Amino acid sequence: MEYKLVPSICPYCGCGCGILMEVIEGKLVGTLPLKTHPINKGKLCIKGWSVHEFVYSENRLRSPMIKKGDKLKEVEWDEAISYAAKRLLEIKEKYGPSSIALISSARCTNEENFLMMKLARYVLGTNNIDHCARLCHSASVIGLIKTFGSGAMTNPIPHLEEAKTILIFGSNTTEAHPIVATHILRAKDKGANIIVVDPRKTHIARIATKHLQIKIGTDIVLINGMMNEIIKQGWEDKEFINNLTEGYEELKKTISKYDLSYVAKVTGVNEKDIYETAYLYTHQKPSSIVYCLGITEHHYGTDNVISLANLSMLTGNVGKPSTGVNPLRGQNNVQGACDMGCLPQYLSGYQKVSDDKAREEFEKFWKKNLPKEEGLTVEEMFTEALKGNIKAMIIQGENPLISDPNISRVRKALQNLEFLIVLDIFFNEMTEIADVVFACSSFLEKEGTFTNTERRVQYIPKVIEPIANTKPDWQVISLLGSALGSKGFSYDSPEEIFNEISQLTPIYRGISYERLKRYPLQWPCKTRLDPGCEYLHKDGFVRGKGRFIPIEEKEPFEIPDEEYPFILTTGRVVFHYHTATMTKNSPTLNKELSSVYIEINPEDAQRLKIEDGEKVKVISRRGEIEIKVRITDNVSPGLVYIPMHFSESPVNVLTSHEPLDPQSKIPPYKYSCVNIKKID
Amino acid sequence: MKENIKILGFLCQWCAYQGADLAGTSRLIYPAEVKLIKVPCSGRVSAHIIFKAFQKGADGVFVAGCHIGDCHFKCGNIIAEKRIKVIKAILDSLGIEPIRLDFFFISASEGLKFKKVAEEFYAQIKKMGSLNLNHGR
Amino acid sequence: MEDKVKEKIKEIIINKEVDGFLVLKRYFNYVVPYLFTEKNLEDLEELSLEEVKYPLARIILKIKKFYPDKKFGILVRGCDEKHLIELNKYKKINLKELYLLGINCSKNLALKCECPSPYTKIANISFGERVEGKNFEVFHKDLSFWLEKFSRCIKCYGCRSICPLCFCNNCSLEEELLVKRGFLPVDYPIFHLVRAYHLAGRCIECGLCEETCPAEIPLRKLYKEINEKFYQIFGYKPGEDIEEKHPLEFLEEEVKEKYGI
Repeated sequence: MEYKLVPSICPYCGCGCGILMEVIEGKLVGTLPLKTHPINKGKLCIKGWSVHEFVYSENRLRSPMIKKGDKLKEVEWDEAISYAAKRLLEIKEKYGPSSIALISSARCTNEENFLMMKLARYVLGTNNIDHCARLCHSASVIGLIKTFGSGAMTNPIPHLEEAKTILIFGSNTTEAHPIVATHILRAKDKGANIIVVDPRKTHIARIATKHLQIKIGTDIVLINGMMNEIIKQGWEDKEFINNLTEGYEELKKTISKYDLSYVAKVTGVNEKDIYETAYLYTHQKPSSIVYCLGITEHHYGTDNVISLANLSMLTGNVGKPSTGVNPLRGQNNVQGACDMGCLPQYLSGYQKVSDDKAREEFEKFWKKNLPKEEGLTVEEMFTEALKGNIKAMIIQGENPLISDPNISRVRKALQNLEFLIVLDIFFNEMTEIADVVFACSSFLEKEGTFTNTERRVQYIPKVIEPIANTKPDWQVISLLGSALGSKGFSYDSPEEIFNEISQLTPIYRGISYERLKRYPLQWPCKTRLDPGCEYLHKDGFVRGKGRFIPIEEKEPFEIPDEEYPFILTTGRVVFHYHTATMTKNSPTLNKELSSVYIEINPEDAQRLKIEDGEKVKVISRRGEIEIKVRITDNVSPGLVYIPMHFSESPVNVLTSHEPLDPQSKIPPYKYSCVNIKKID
Repeated sequence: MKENIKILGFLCQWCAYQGADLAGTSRLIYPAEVKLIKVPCSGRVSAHIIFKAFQKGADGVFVAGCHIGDCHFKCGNIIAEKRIKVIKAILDSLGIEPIRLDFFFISASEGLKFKKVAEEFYAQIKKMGSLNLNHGR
Repeated sequence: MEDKVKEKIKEIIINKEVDGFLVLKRYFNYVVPYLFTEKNLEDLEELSLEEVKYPLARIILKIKKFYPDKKFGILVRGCDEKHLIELNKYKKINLKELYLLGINCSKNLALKCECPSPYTKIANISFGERVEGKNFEVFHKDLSFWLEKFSRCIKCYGCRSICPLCFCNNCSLEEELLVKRGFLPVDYPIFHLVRAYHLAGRCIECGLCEETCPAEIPLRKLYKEINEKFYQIFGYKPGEDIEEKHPLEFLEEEVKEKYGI
């Protein structure tokens, strides 16, 4: 007789909630919340409650496969690994190491991401490694590094509860990060001002004390306007500015033309609301900024983030408890994937590949020279694949055929490759086109660590044995690395990998499995006795002084015209997770919502003579889809919205992959121009 | 703009609905805003149906069944009356006036009683005003 | 008290009075429910009586379903005991086949939980000093308060999934015709009305639902108020008497007695 409740961490969003997996006789039967976990304290969203459901789905990959002819044939691991290694070596010989590109998974553990990074740099000799943070928060990483010196969430989630004013920019918090929203709601119950800036009437916007329904993409104007008003009224934190920042005079000059009436005209928010928001943010302290993809996923996303950083520094609302600039990272381990250096310009711990001193540490440890030119980012990889410069790709736990912008381009790019290896846990669009499919184990079938959005590194135990003939990613990558001729992949356990990580990564140096099993730790954690860092930039910024970078307003890359008169924006719903690979295979979640829809304003629907539930054609310069209509006042006239999760009508057929943000190379997901036509 | 009060009445087919029918054939006038639904027994009206009625915009809901001892299904009206008491307690706890929901005993021959019930219930609800549980959603 | 509890559990497992015992255990810095059997008695060292509320009655129900022929013991506080009394009433579990080890709650916990009876009544054995409970404080709020709270609901079904007394095989809340689905804000207040109705005269006010709600809806306070009114109408309080039946259960005897039908 065996009944166990094993604590683990939810694999869905970046909240990193504690869960208890119910196991009877070695089989998963249920999920309960972990009551004493520091973040969720016994609360879960519907996805968290349904974690156990996807594990035994019949759509799980059960064995590695090789494409023979037209079809995928199940093979043994030896054959799959040696074939993959052979082809990779051939391509590396023929075309050089920079013809290979890797995309690691922000949903795999830190250990696995580190190994992918090691495979790319140490074995294959390329810096062409990236992951999906490129598509969502690379703007945050770059923007906050430039202004503060560190690209991560400054304050921990529990601090939100004690904030007196919370500004929420471009985040549908109750749907995308429900447990972060719990803390915001608690703050509201204590009397805090919750101000949501969002072009849509999202769920959190309806709950907020104030909703600034801004014209999409005009955040910079709003923030500059707020800062201008703050300086005009003398509400800025002069002491903070003088002692801890640089570049104030330039900022003051640049924003001086953003007076209230101009800002109101451009953003559509009335002057009184802008004034009041500025007042509350500076007077009802401590004040915190929370933001998500509505800020970052524009072709000037980095500038949006920098504006938020400017605002927080101007008012002294950073480097203190319950303040800060807080990007809500999406994936359960996207922070970890960034920390592990799965980025074309950074080694683990945000040490630049071009920084000789940092690179030498790695070269000493691994006893090999590493490439020093920065590699390609995700969208650039696809551009190069189309040109024929990238010949092979290894894509782990990622579904670019649904999640990347301009899907038809992605499909052409991937089909142009000579060789494609896919590591995944489910059959999906990627496994259909792969040459080799490695069937990997889910997060419950392996040991490892995840780092959530607040830099909290958390240990996950192995709860059940890998199902069928799957292997954990760390074993697969190790086998591949060894088959490629490397001696650096003989790990007996993920703990050995983590020890290597902590030796090479200063911000993780003080973290070990022994410490993590007792309690999660927030980096930077530099020594064995360091309790971890609760909030960043205390008594000074990581880069020394915080840097004001003045930002001017930006123009959209396409404007609504007669041909494409609507603006399309995208987002998440609480019932599904990203490309729904896991959630579509969870009965409870699929029951709640199983089909996609487009949100159209009632006035627009009436004008186009469209009824609720009717199927329409939505067309952009990139492609077209057919989709059902949902008439709602969530969107204002001229704006439409499609959730990103559904492969039956993937919204990313319509979105554009360019122009990329010049600083962080993030694509402009949140803004496209479309037309809507009735289907006759 | 006049506030349009919506009343929904669930009447059992054996007694109460016959009573309403009789009111009709006797040309007894009752407020047009009272809409009637015939059910096989007042006991059939589950809490779900009543909640759905309020959720969909009803400002007042009543259930009418046979007098005690006359129920075609022996005790459907007894359970219905109990159930209504529980639902009223729930409405009260939520700050919704409990008299927006009521239960009446009406026999097949009580056409006049039905008219009175409909009129008085409607007047009561009109005085309280629209419930607007849906908030125009 | 912890040592005495450990001794007792060890005793009844070794005597084969029970095959397994459900209680809380320390797991590094966390506290989780744990099933002790004769195979892992050494883990009893890590037994915890920390005041962390888990749905132990729900867990024992699940375990019993998997192992119907085995006998179990369970650690109960006043609320767990009430859960089991109710489950016994609805024939979901047989109290006669369960060994109840009672823990009386401390004064701190009783005040924090606002519990009127922070002690066990029918347990096989009880540990800890009995303290007086705290009486129900009136919490009435108006409709706009409740609608604002309900509008925050993110349909996690946590209140339903964690409640030991929510055991329906086909949950009405998942019925699409009753509660529309696929969007936020949820179809409110019908979701919460249906739940409140199903719990009227059944909820024993343990507070698990309120603790697990990510939208911070004061569910327990609402159910407490409803139960108070229920008691005034029917004179029935759930979780008290093992034999008493819920007034809305179809009772042939009552109908014959009261109405002579």
